[in-house]
Amino acid sequence: MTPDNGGYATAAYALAALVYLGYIVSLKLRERRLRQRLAQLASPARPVPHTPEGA
Amino acid sequence: MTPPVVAPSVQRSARDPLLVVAIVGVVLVYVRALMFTPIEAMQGPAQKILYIHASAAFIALYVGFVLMAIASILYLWLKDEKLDRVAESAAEVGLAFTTVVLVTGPLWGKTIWGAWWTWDARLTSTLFLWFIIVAYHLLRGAVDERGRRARYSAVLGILAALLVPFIHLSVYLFRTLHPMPILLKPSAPSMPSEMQVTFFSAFFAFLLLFIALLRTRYRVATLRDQLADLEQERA
Repeated sequence: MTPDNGGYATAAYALAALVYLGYIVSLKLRERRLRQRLAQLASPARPVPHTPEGA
Repeated sequence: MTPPVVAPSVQRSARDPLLVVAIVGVVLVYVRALMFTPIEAMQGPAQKILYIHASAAFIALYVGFVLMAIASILYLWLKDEKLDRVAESAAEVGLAFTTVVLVTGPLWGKTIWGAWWTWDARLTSTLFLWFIIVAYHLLRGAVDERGRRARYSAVLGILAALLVPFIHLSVYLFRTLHPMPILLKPSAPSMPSEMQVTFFSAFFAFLLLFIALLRTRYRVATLRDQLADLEQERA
């Protein structure tokens, strides 16, 4: 008789997806943070735009 | 003062079509494996863990860590920083795939062997390799000087990859609970064709995911080095 162990397969597929997705998100966050930092360093210092008081 | 020149790779958009294609491929494999692939009569639905477990193991060991070793050897020879970045990226993506192997394996083992874990040669050596790759990344984080970091980690990467043939042969050399290969072996695969199609689809989808992640991780390493150069220039 075929055993009823579908829960284990579902759990394995869910955990694998969690590991892969977690890694993808961590890579994308690292990439975005580095790009932002590089863009900050690369851009020339811009003067703060003057806005009249009360505007 | 003129602003420092930033490489085009920094300015490029972070969109990654290959990663999107790979994710779609993996989702399709999930659907095919869970909903349209027959259930193995003796093992039940848990046998379907094979499609994600074996493909992750094969890609991590024979693609990820072999690439890490080759890039490390070439780095020690040519001293090209790009090779160090390839080795580092392959090691990290390989670690993610090995984590999947170590997470899914016990779930399959529990249904077939009645135990989550057994200290046999295949399982223990894979866990040992996982720890060495974690140590590889800790080492990289601990050494600031780029040349020295690349040299030390290249040596550790090469030593870690020596475990790969041992892991491969462990099922032949030792009495182990882990089954021998049923698909990727010199003789014909011992599996019905419908299951073979699912397995090879999974293998290629995860291989594509590995390549997409490797490219992303390499980009992260390049950006990090560019940032370090720029900060040094500013200091």
